Amino acid sequence: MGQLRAEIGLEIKPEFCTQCGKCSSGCPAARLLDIRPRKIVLMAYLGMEDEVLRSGWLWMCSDCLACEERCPYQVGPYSIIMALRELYAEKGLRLPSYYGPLASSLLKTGFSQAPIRVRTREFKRVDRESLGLQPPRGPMDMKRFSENLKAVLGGVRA
Amino acid sequence: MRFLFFPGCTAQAEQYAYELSARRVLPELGVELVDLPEANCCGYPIKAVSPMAWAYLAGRVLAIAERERLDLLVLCNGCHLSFYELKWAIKQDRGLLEKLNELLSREGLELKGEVRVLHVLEVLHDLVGVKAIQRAVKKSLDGLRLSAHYGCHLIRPSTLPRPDDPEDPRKLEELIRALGASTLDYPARLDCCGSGLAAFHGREAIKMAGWKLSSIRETGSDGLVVLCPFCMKMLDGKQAIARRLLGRDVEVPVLYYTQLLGLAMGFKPRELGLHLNLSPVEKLLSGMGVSM
Amino acid sequence: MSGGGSKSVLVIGGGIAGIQAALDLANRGLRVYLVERQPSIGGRMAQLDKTFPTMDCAICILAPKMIECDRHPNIELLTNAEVKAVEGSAGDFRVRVLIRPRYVDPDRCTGCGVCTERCPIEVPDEFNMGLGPRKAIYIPFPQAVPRLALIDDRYCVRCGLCERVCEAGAIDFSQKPEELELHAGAIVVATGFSLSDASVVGEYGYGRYENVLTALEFERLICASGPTRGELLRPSDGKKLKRIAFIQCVGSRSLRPGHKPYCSSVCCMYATKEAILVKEHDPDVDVVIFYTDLRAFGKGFQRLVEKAREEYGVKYIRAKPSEVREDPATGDLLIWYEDTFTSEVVEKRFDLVILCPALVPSETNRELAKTLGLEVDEHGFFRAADPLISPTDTHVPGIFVCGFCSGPKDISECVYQASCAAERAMEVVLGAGR
Repeated sequence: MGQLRAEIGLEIKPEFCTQCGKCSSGCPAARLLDIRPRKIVLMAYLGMEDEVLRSGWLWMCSDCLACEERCPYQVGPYSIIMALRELYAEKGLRLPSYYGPLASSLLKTGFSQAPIRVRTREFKRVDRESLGLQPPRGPMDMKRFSENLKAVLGGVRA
Repeated sequence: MRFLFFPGCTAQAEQYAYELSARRVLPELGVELVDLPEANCCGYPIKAVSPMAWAYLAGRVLAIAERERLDLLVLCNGCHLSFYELKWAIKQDRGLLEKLNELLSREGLELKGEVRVLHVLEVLHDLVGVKAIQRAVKKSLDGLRLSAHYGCHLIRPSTLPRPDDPEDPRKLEELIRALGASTLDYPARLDCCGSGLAAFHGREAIKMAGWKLSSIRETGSDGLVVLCPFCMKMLDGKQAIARRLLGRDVEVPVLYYTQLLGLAMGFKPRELGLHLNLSPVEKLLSGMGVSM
Repeated sequence: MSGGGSKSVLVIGGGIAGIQAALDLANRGLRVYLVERQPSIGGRMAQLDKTFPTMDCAICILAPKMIECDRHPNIELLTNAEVKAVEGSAGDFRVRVLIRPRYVDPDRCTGCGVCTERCPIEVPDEFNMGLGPRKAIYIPFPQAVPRLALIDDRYCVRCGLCERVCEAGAIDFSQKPEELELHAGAIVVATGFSLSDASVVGEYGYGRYENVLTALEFERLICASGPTRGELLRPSDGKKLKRIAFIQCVGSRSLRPGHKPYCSSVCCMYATKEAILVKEHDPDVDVVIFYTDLRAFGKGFQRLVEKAREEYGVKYIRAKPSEVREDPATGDLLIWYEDTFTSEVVEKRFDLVILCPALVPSETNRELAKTLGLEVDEHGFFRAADPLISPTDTHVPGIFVCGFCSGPKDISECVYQASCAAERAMEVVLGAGR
């Protein structure tokens, strides 16, 4: 059987699954894409993680947690998908392009993104300063912070 | 009441209206917002692919709050869940807490995990209270029929402490009614805004937002009230694209509760950042006899 | 056991199990006290329209037994009554029973029902699961045994209209609770079950949406003696039903807080039964049963399921909805589901959604257990001495359990167990016969 474990965070119990389908029934992404949390749980249980990693389904989850909330056996379909995302990163597989800039920004500023200029309803451009807001205050000791973060980023490459 | 103000990356970097309106209205209701001397991302965006990075980032914010000896007030549903999940994780796993403190000690920080993290919804509903908000209303929203969007991370998973009920949350609607407006139910009320999918499948994410807006439009609602900057990005910001993708009109005025509250308290729309909303908020404003 | 003690047996609970046990005991010449909390015997079976798998009319097969209990010279019916205290041991139990006042003289009341017509106070009818009204003075249901009126003191305003119209002069506002002390050689407990609160499964909207009902509420709806006289009309607007969904395992087979982990045993079959009843009423109604496992394990059960599917066109879909949503404009219900056989994810609209909730022991079980010194399991069911080889014995000599109160089971199983418990009680009372 599968050895998938959630190291940190909510427990996963793929062996409790009865394949009732409640997770897929409530999955908003399943109405638009191929993802079926029910299948992912069964495949995790059967040790078919590699097939799931190759399928692309992992990046179809919208993070809504409905499956996690309502599963009768508290199997944790969402947590299983997240544990598979971690496995994907650990194996060095190519992550969606979203993560590179995210990791960069975190290492450089401490935040997931730097403030941008946005447009108003009158199509003018404003930013924090022009709106009277203070600039963000990231980590005071950026050097130590980024060292620490780099040490724990694991399979995510900036 | 004093809280360390943690707007979160999205509000801080682009959803300026949430911060503007929160900074305006909260002090008027007795909630003092103290700026954090330093902060960082709550870690939620990176959590799935690197749980340890998440734990470090979330733990670092909590450690800073503990150093400043004040509880945190957050604007974003994702941040709130992130911090609560970390508090829970370090209780379950002492080894994790040790690892985090080993890292944090290099920055002169220490994490205990006891600091409280309150979402602005909780502060307004549970601490300030509906009655105090009613008293602060200068311009009643009587006649307006509004819809509420709670957002997934605010109410799930209910195995962790969440600000409202997962299947029948009430607090936002109670706060809306406190301003004199009435509230409308709609079938897609608990549906996800799609923002979690936006980075990977943008079109489908926007369709999800569009379906939600459509469901709201069908009730004849005057506007949608939200609590989270991610949700706002989708529901307020993607209406034109949603319309194209779904082939039907999904126009609905969308605004933050703090903006709505500010309007009822007599603040001017620009003070509340309403000129930054991308959805047709003028319709809502004219319903109140107010112009931008 | 010597036969020296009391030759009476106390049966607690007047549903099908209690009735069967009482009749078996009485027919052997023993004196039986049948104590029932409700004002009439009959229990849950009296609320059913038909029974599975035979599709018999429930009250038609139950009423003769109820009447036999009433007429039997050896059975004393104590309805509207509760066991308050028990002392002693096998062969010699001393039992204190509290009889709540009916405010109606049983020797005078003819059960004519005129009082119920005149009473000005309307309240929800528990027999019809709150779907219809009854009066403050009422006869529980048409086939009630005993067929006597009673006044619900919570609602009566003492206007005296009933007193004025009663030709038998049976109204008696001076009645007080009565305490009886009984002697019994053995006790048989048959306190039955209730439905769990389906609103615990908040995602299905029970209690929030008018057109989401429990199966027992629906049973009353479809029953000719029910609030709509058996017409398939839905609660919110009386619209004729055309699209019905059943959802199985609501709050059962679930580890979530407030839910029950066990299977309630009868729901797959009663949903099949109700689905067939709907189709018999109107073959054009679209009926869907959303299930995870179809538990049709008894004799004739699978055949009934096949009949429902093949002959009546009941749709069985292996899917478990995540949420039931209401369209506020119409009161219709919307359900997204994944058909687990095809992996298709679709949304369907229904006029009515019927939930099959976890079935739980009566609320009074835990207190009764304390009174009798019985053990209950973590779900409140009475614990048998051994579930396999002594299923009706308890850890207290002389006290026996039968029926749903010791675990989920269907009507035929309740009847077997009741006769078993009666036989065990007889051994105590009549002696070992050696």
